[in-house]
Amino acid sequence: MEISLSVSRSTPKRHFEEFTIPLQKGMTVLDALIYAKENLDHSIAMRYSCRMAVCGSCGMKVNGRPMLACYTQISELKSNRIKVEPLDNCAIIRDLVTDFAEFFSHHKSVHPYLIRNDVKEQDNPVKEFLQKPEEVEKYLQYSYCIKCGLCYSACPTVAADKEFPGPQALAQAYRYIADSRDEGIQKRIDVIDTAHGIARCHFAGTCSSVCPKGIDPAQGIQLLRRYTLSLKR
Amino acid sequence: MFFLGDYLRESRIMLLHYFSGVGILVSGAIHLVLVFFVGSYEENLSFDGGIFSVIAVYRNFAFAFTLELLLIFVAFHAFNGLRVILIELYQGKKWEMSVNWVLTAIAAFLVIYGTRTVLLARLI
Ligand code: SF4
Ligand code: FES
Repeated sequence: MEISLSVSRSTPKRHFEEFTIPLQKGMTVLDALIYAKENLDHSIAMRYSCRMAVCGSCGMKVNGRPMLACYTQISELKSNRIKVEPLDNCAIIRDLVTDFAEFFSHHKSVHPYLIRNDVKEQDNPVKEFLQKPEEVEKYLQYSYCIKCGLCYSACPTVAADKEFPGPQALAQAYRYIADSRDEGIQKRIDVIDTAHGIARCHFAGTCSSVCPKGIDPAQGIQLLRRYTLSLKR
Repeated sequence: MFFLGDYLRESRIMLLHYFSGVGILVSGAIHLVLVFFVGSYEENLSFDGGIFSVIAVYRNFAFAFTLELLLIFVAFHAFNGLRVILIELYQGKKWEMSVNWVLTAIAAFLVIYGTRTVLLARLI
C-alpha cells in the first residue's frame, strides 16, 4: 500500500510537492518524510532529532493540525493523503523549518528557572529544598513541556499579537510561580501583567488541544490569572 | 485612566473592566426599575408632557445618581473594550499611546458632557 505525501516547499515560492511513499507498519509522518528525503528529493528541509517526542523539534502541521511528526503514526490519520506544512505563527526558514527565535525569547522572558532571594544559599545549598507531593502536583504537568511550539502555533492571540507571550511562556511562568521553592513571583508578574500579557488570553483553548505531552497550558494561564489579580499569593 | 497604563497594571484595568460590566448590569437594572416607579410610567415617558416629563425624572436624586453611575460604567467598559481590540490588532508603542490618549479623551468628554446634562436637567 502507498500513501501520497504532499510537502510544503518554500522555494522558489511556496508550493506543494507530492511524493508517493510505500507504507510500512508503524510508519510515522517523520518516517515518511525521511523516506522522501533519502530516496526521492534530498533537498526537503525539516528539523528533527530524537524521533521519540522528547526534543520537540519536529513540530509541523499535519493535515492542517499542529503535531509532532515523530509522534504521529500514518495509521492514526485515517487517510492515505497526507499534507505537511510548516507551523503557523512563526517565520518560515525553509520548507518545514520555522524560526523559533521569537518563541524562545518569550520563553526566556518569563525567567523559566527557580529564583531564590538568597542567591548564595541557592548556589551552595546547605540542605535540601524539600517538597510535599501535593506541592509537586501543582506544577508537575507543566514541567513536561518540551518546547515544541505547537501550542504557540495554534494560539489565535499569538496570530494577532506578536507581543503576546503565548501559552507556552505563560504556562511556564505559572510552573515556576506555583513551585513552593520559588521566590520570583514579582519578577514574572512584571513581565506578564502588561497590555500584551496574560490579560489578552481569550481562553480559546487550542493550546491544550494540540499539546503532544498532554499539558493543559490554558488551565495554567487561568491559574496564573489568580496571581495577577492578587486573588492568590 | 488608560494613560496610567505604566502605573496601573493591566490586571487592575481588567478588574475594573469586569467590575464595570457588573456595574452596568446593576445600575442599568436599577435605572429601569426607577423609570417604572419614580412617578407613573405614563408621566415619566409620555409624550404629553414633552421634554419636561423626562426632565422631571432627573430631579429624583436616586435616579440621577444611578444614571450618572451607568454613564461612567458604560464609558469605561466600552472604551476599554475598544482599547483592548485596537492594541491587539496592531502593535507598537506609538500606536498604543495614541489609542490610549484618544480613547481616554473621548471617554472623558462623554462623561463630562453626560454629567453636565444630568446636572442641568436637575437645575431646570
Ligand atoms: S505546552 Fe505542550 S504544545 Fe506547548 S510547547 Fe510545551 S509541550 Fe509543546
Ligand atoms: S524528533 Fe524529537 S520530538 Fe520529534
